[in-house]
Amino acid sequence: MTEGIAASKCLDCGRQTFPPRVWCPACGSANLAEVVVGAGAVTESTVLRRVVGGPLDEPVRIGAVQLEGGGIAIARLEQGCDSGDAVQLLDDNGAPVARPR
Amino acid sequence: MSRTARILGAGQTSYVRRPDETLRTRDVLARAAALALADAGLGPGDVDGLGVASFSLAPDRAIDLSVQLGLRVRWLMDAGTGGASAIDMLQHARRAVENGDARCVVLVAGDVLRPSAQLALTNAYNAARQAYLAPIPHGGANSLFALLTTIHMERNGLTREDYGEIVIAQREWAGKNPNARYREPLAIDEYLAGAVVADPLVVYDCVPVVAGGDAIVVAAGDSGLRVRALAVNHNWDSQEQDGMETGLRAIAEQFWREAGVTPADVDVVSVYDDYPVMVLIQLVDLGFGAVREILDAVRTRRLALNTSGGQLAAGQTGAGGGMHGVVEVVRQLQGAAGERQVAEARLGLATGYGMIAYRYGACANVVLVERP
Repeated sequence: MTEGIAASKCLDCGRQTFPPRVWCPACGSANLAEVVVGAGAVTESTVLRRVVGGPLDEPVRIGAVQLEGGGIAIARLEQGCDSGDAVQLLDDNGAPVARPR
Repeated sequence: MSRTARILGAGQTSYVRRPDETLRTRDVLARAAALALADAGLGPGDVDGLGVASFSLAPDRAIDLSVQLGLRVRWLMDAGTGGASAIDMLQHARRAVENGDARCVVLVAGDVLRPSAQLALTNAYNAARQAYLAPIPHGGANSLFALLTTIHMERNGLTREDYGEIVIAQREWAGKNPNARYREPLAIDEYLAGAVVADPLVVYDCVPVVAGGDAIVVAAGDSGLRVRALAVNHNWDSQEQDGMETGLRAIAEQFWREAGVTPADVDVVSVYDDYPVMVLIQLVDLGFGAVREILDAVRTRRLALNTSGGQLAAGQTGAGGGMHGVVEVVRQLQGAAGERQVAEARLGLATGYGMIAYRYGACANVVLVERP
């Protein structure tokens, strides 16, 4: 796992977007840079208990995380992260992971 | 002869929850197309346009289906917008027949998705989900709609019972539809005790995937059902909001102006129901009332909503989910809905929603169909 997740930030209007975009959804600029976002706050959470084929042996905690600087990521929540909590963000092979801050 | 686009017929295959090894996607699409043509009193030789929506037809495309069916076509469309593909295809087909690019178009949608294919599809749905959601693992759209339902519940002060009312009402309609997969009545206690998929969603909140297909026939003329208004609004917010509105919100006013009627005039409604929360969100977007008013209309059965049982009870045929609602509206307006027929149905509305680009659906559309 590496620290932070990669978002895009518009160098013209400042809009930060996750997942990263090619053009800025706010101003249409193609002048976007990659930024690493390391912090956010959990806004909603759920526990995934069943998938196609039946119940999971190990349920997965999943949440929406409002990113510092803008944008919302869907993340795997580590133990101790609940709605409203400030979290640090990590990247696990592409999966955003939230850890208590 | 009038150049107004008309819907001449509709077809629906039987829906199968666990298809055997031999059932192929092209077989269900062919069956749906044949049923729609028979309903229109036409045959393959009359067709000169074909539109197809399917996830599991790959590596074949619309052109390959035309080869399999021997259809000579001057108009051809591959639709890639999942639950919104039916109305997207109709948007294009309507103009094609009105402008003479084709005389008679068959629009067909459906899938055969076995569990392994379902899982593969949800994890490689698009590049964003493949990169950021599959490795969580998110287990498909259910976890995303659990988060959306949580927001919706809190914002509107709803309880699980409120969403259950929609599921229960649709089950009641399904009891009158021989082709619905789940036809037994559902009690609120049974709903509340359902196995949790991703809280607050239980199994009854999540569409059961079935194998099957649906089709309609569109041609210019002066008989058949008329498309009174149709509107599309995809990627209206670039996935930057919270999913509590769809693209329908921004186009509703113009849609009803084009239609020349109001929601109160509509006799039968098929709202894209991948989850109960989306039924409420789309009906609010379209101006059917506030959340509480809509729930009341569902509870009292004043609103003829998803009269086939919807996808929640009849089943979701993959990319055919949007066409399912259109076919039900056509059946109702034809007076061919059997035991579930809405008396004197003249105006029917169907919506499409879907393509979960990242956190929620990027596509939304709506059509109002009229029996002249």
